Amino acid sequence: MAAKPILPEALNCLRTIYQRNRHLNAFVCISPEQELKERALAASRRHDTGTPLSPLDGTTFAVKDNICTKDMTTSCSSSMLADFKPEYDSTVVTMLKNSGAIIVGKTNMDEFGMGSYSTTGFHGPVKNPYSPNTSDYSAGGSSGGSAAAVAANLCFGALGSDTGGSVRLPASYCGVVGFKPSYGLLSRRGLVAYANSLDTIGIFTRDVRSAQLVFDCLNQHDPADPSSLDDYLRRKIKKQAIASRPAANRNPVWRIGVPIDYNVAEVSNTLKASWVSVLAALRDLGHCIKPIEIPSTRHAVSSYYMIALAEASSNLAKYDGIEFGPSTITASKPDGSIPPSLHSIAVAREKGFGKEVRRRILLGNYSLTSEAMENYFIHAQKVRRLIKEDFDRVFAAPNPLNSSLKQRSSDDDGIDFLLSPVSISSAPSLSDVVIADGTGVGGYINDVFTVPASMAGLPAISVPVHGNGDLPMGLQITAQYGDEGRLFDIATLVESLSEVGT
Amino acid sequence: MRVRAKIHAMPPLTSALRVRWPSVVPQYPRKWVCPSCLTWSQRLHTESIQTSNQSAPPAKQPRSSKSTAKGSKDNSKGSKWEVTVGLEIHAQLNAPRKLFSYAATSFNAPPNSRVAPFDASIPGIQPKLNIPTIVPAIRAAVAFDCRINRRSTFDRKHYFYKDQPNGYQITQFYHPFASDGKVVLNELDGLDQSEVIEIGIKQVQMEQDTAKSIFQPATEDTPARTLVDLNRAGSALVEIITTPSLKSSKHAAACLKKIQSILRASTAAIDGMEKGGVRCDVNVSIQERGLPGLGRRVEIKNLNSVKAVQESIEAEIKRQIAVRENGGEIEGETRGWDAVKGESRKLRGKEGEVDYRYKPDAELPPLIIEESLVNHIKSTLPPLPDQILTELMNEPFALTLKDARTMVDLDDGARVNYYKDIYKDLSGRPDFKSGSKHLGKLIGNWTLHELGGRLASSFIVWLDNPVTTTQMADLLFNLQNGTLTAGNAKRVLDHLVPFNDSNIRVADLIEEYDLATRSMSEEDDEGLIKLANSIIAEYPDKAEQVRSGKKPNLRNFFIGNLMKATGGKVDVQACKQVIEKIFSA
Repeated sequence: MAAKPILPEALNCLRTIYQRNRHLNAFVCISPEQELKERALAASRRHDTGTPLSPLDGTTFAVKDNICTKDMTTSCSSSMLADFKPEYDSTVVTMLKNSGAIIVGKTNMDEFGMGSYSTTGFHGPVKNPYSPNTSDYSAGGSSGGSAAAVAANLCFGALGSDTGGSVRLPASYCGVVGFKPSYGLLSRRGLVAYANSLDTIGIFTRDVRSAQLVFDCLNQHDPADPSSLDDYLRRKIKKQAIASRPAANRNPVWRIGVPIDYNVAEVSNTLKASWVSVLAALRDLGHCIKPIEIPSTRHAVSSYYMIALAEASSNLAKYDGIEFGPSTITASKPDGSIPPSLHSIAVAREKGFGKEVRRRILLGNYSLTSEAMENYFIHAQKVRRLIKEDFDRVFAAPNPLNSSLKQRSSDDDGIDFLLSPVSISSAPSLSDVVIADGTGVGGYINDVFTVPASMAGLPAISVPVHGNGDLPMGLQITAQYGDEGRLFDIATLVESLSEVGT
Repeated sequence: MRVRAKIHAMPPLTSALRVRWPSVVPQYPRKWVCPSCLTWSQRLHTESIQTSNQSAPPAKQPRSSKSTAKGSKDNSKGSKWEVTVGLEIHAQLNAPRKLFSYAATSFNAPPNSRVAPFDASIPGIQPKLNIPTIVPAIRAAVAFDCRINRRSTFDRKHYFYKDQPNGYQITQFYHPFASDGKVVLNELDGLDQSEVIEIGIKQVQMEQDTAKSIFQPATEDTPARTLVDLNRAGSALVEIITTPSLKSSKHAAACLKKIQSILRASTAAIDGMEKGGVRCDVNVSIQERGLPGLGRRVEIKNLNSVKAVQESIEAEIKRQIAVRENGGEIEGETRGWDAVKGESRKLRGKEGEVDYRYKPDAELPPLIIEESLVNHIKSTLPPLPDQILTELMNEPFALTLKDARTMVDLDDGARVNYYKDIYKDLSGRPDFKSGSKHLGKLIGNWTLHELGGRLASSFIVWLDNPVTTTQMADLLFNLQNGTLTAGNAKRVLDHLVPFNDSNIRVADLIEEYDLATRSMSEEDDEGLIKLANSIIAEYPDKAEQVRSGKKPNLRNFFIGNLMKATGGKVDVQACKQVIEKIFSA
């Protein structure tokens, strides 16, 4: 077997980045060439001696700029953290490095992950590699840089973060695989918090099997993350997965749910056509397609924004210009509208945060005030619980996190997966995004498909389908909590169907 | 009034954090001897040595509260205004590490040297509950007779300030770990003899402490600035909230003192207000007697002494009465106390009130406290101040309230153990003669006053007390059986204190310095009578005055001279007997 050309591949990545990143704006920080060479050399030596650290040894990775990397600025695309050089690697980055992966750089994003088009950051917008020559299209957000980097072959894979769709949406716009695991499986230590009950580390690759490799490498309990799933529950999930495996010699028959609540009017015709053709192909293969109702998802987006923004207002309270943020020494004198002790903090937050972030913090803070709390935040929490219960009702597999395992009345009622689009259309052009930006919260409609899985903490994957147009689109498959193994199986199948279709 | 909405938040997806005994808590072998054995900390040992240098003045406070109690009585009982006070007390838990990070707690460490990344709010770093910190917290709650809630959760309280690096404090607003406790105040706390009042403890919650900000005036090189020391940031506190049921400043002061002494005795919190370990906010309202409900409450924040609490409440009552009697309305507001000027000033009114935007912390799992842990803590709780006081005031110890108080209050009650060890030693000796003096009182007197006085005048702190309990017991043994006179016993003590040697045996000292009282055998008795007769013969005038009954008190003159003549080796009783015998013959 010929030795893997690791060093040439890594150097090729770097060359491509130098060539294309000026236009794409996917990377905001690139690793020093010397360091990259050394790591690639070490990896290829390990491969030569037959002792690779893992299947990922020597592969190149990009990391979203809200995931802490030692000695590399982690700005979250915010001038608030423009100078933030963490003294530690986030757990997922440490795991990647320990598997031999080579970090090539940090990727552009929406400021603090707040946006759907990677346009709100202070590094400027990310451009979709599939943009036609005539105009620039959005790479999607908030992990747009990571999606674009993988799509443009600037690296083997990338890490992103998904709060309400921030991995799946850019993956669908850029035509790559974007995977959001179950909440609590991948460590969030080192992920700068946006909405910490929703934030999940996500994975970008060009095919489903690679995503699974990366996931397997990162899927470990982390004692430093209080929300990381403990080993007891991990064993429980494993047992459940083994129990639900079909016998070795039989092809599984999957029950695939089509959420009719998701069939919103805004979904583009080409996307609908792709959705239907994949469903038809699955049916032809003997799988069972069932329409299902998840009524609570109608309120998912509004509840999601309530919760996410409330948490964001809290998580971003630490950026007060004292430890982080722009210097306010030269700030104007207080004008009396706020107490002098808060003046410098107000100035720092005004200067350090962009418009979208300020808007979201303001909304989030309002929903937590004593007058609004009951109507908004608590109400949204109730909706969130309903969403989770709705999902538990439709899935055949029980949710391993429920302590009391409610026996389903009949196993036939349940489904194994949900199949839906990721977004309402393919990527919009950046000029359209600017127009949509002016309409305030109207742009939030795009999250309608991705938010329910985030609210319930479920694993979901975006698999690219190439419609008739030039721009790629994605279909989303959602599974029960912890059911990653089977999710990758069906995603591989859907991936092969869409390849045949194009 | 705080209004708490019921929160039925979706629980975090990950499981709850369960703590039970014995899985998390190392068993501590002996109660109450060393409060830090539980926590593996060196801090308590070293720091208590440093701080007890400022030897506390004995039990001064009850007196000062008496004088002001009159003032408050005028306000509360005599007038038409009914006063209601509630306390919110923040106490630093006796825990070696911070609540949510591994950094050590400290008081005197160099600035910013005890800071974990979480304490400095480094992005991407999450809180992780340090389980041992909940043990002192549960002790406090158990000592206040609280119900320990099996499931409690953590919430964020938001406000911007320089000393709040995260922009919020993690506390337990919606579901505290303990509620519905009480503190009983009675005559032991300086109340009138028949007065017993019960103050409800609404809840006890765990929360984070803030950093310290230090203002630095401008110098030649630097402009005026505020420096932030994060050493304290994130340390574990308990907040103890009483019900608004205190009726006077005197009761509030007594309640605060009682809460502090319970915290100290239960080893939940070691440092009192004098060291900044306890801080207090008070809520004061007045209402016309007979009318239902409470008046609008005014909060006075950040009081750091019992005196400040008492004085600020009195001043606030006066201020509110003046406003009401002039036809004004009380505004719900927050005030600060200026101890120097003796007056409070408005910090912010209702319109400037901070909305703390309380919100469940989304990533800290609920804390489940198993009953086994609570039971373990209950069964190993050191005796509380009232229990110790009552014990000391009853037989066989029979100390006065004042002496018992002194023993309990000073040096975290270290004298109590010393005292009891001596009692146990002496009463356990088979050849011990109890003598005419009450043993409990005798030991109390010698421990507190004779030994205590000598230590104080030599500037020795109690923790460095050089006299062992065995030495003290030997000394009192010889005093009680008549070998030592009181005077010579004091001489022995005078020797033991400066020599600071636990190997010195009292018996050796008696022999070496020939301090033993002459044995009272027949011949010695005769010798003593001879000596007495010769002294009486020296002063015929005076002897005559005694005999005639003109000046019977002159007997003492002869007793004194006889003692002098024996070199102090015959005790006063024997000398008295001989002189009496001669004169009555």
